[in-house]
Amino acid sequence: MKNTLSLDDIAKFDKNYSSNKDYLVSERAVTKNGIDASCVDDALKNQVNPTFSVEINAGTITNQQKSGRCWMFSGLNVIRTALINKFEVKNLELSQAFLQFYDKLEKANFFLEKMIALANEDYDSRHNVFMIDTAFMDGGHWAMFVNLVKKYGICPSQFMPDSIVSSNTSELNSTLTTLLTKDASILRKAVKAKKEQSEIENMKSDMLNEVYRILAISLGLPPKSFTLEYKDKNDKFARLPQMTPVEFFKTYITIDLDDYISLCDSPLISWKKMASYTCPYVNNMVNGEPVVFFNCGIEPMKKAVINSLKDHEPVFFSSDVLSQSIRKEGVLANGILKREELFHVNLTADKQTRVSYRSSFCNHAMTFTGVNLDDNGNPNRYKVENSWGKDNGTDGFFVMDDAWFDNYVFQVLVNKKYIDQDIVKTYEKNKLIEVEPFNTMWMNLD
Amino acid sequence: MKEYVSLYDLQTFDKNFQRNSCNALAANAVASAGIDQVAVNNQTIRTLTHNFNVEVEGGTVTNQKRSGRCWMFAATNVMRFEVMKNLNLANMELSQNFPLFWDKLEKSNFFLENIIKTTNEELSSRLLAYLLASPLGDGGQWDMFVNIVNKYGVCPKEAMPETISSSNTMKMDKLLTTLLRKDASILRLEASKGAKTVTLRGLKEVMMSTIYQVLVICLGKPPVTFTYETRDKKNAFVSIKDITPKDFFAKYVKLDLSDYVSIINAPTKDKPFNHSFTVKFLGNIVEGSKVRYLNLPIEELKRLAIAQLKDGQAVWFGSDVGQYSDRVNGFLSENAYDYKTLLSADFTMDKATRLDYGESLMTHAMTLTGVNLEDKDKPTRWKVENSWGSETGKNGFYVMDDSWFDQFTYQIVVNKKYLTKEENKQYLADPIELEPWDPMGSLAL
Repeated sequence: MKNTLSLDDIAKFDKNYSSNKDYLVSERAVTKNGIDASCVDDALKNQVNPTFSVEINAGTITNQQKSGRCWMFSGLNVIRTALINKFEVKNLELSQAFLQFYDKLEKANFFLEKMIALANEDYDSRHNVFMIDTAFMDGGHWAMFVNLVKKYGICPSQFMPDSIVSSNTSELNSTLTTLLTKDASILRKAVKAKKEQSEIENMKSDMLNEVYRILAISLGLPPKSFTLEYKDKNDKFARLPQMTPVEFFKTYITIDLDDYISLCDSPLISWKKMASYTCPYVNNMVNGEPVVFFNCGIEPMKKAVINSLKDHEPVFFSSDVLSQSIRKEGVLANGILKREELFHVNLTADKQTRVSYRSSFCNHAMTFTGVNLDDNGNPNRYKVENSWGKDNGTDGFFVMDDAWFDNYVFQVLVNKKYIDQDIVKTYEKNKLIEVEPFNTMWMNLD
Repeated sequence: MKEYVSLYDLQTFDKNFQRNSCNALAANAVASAGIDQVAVNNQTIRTLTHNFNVEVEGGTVTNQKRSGRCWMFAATNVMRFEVMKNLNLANMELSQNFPLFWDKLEKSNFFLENIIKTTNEELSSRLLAYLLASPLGDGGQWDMFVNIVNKYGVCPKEAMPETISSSNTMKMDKLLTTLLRKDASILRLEASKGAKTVTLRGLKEVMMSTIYQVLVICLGKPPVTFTYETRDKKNAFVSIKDITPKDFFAKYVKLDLSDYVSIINAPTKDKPFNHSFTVKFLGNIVEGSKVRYLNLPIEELKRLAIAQLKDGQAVWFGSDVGQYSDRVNGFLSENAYDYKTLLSADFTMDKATRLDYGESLMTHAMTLTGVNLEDKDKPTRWKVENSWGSETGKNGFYVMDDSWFDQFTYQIVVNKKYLTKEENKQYLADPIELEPWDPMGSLAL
């Protein structure tokens, strides 16, 4: 074959195609019903049963709607379990809009600081473009969630419920993009003109003041303090003293978020095993905790997840939810979509190739709330709490089979007491390696 | 202010916010209705009317549904008017599934060739990241459409109608992308073991045959010949038997596409006016012509568009439709939304800064089908045919005010006979090559 596509080539392809009637069967199914609906493996779907030998009492399912806040939802779902147990209530939801407000504000500051620092690089340099592509989006990571709750605390949803803008962020994000790219151009000019640092800081302060106003108008002002009143499972009334969001967090969240380790399975050749990676361009807060991936491989991750679930602690994790998944039924199972059979093609590529060539990447955070262990104590499926409302999956919960974990899970956040102690020691001994943000491991979860 | 956000800063911002009671009013309105609804400027509906003193005859509005084929819709909209004129039809539509099929097949070949060409580049380089990011997205450019028509022709919609996958391309695109990235990994691996280009092209042939198979399953097979029958405006029967797509174009569209040139308006420092440009690694057909743009001041784009509209021909154009566009009323106008008053923040930026800072670029192609001219041919508003169905705008048509044209229109395609002699020369001069990630290398979706 030549570099161009000749009409002879096409005639040859056409002959191959017409020689097999199976293709026509597929064609009729696909042109009428679409691709996925024509290739769901029902037998496998029926095998992935939503019952689990180990299960946590999670709250009612949440809904991130049309926003990229999965990481906040999953983070809050992890810590609300502690509150549900402590207050002995059936359900409690923590405000995602509250964290969103401060996330946008901090991201704006983070972005403007980077624009100042990168002012002498071309505006279309890879670093600058990476910042413009990520800074106004909703996505994030566990460490960014920890940054927010430590600095600003948490509040129950009723004190800052979701509004039109918090659950459908496109208008807000485009407004902030317009404003902050304009601000970036002004700051770059100021740095190049060798303006005093204090003057640049004042300019930035005025810019953030505008961002604050836009956020307050769009999301409402976050509460400064609140008084929580509730009825517990036994219908008993309780009233807590008035407190600030930070006080509420410090008083009732007794788990230490510093004890959580980000274990990951990154097959990139450039990433060494048992090494910790971070990237200075991926964060929401100046001076915040770094976003870290400790590359320990898949097996220790599974063990830590199971230990944690057995001890009734849910687990934040990130994965490629777009691959081998059916949303409506809530199934994440390797082979659930038989596309290879439908198209008579080989789509197999190992995890390393998929990630290096960008066909699979970590894009969504959810929460493990259960696991099914066989008679030998080995996991065969997991219960997953998603944040896509209750109309998907089983009342909003998804089932993941073990092979899907191997292939499409990238990261779990587990308390170090549930992790193999040798691994914890290696983690604590190793220095963080700083790398560039240009592979898919650094894409934000949304 | 320091590098981080301090609690003192927050108190100051908060105080500033509380100082003006309008802010609380705005917050209450936005909480229940969202930003755009509250920012709608109600005056605009009184001034921006859907009337034009220059208008070309049009057909029924089309619908690209959930696909990024606007550029094909805009181009087939220009061409179907010619068919309607030539056959005296009240309405007809050209198949958009037909060019979609060939575009995907050719883009796959284009991508694999680029991979073969770049085996010496690091996988983590910006170039490979760019190539792998979107090997065969739906987006395109006028010149890419011309390539397809020159090689494959066009056919009426009846000869290759829509399928589920042509109207909603996401799944098909994802699967083809998976295949192509996997293929790229194989080609690079073989090259690293010393395979020569001819060996790699042998592998490519097998890969391309698979792509063809997937495309036929998803979109159906493009017709080799077809029969087109309809009734014309006078209810006379029209029958065109056993014609190929290329002959159909030659006989019934009858446009000499080599007469049509892309004019852009990119007022950034790095792009001098009156020069032509091309973009590296941008295209769909390996042997097709490369994209070529002549950069001119915006007033010149308007002069050219008006000249072509006055001659009764629609104009393909590219703009950033995500800016200040009201889908309900069909407005493209900075006066459609008053964000400045609502949010008390100044969003003003000039066109060059917007391009440089990634705030705006060409994202969508539509068709200009009319203009309202005052004295001395001064345009006040433009009639726009979109491809989002008849439920948006006024039966699918939009009205663009002249300042939106200034700010957010980046490209028009016109017959070169309207260009000055100088401009024709400049268009043909050696183009300046832009990097693939340049904002002017963006594709219309």
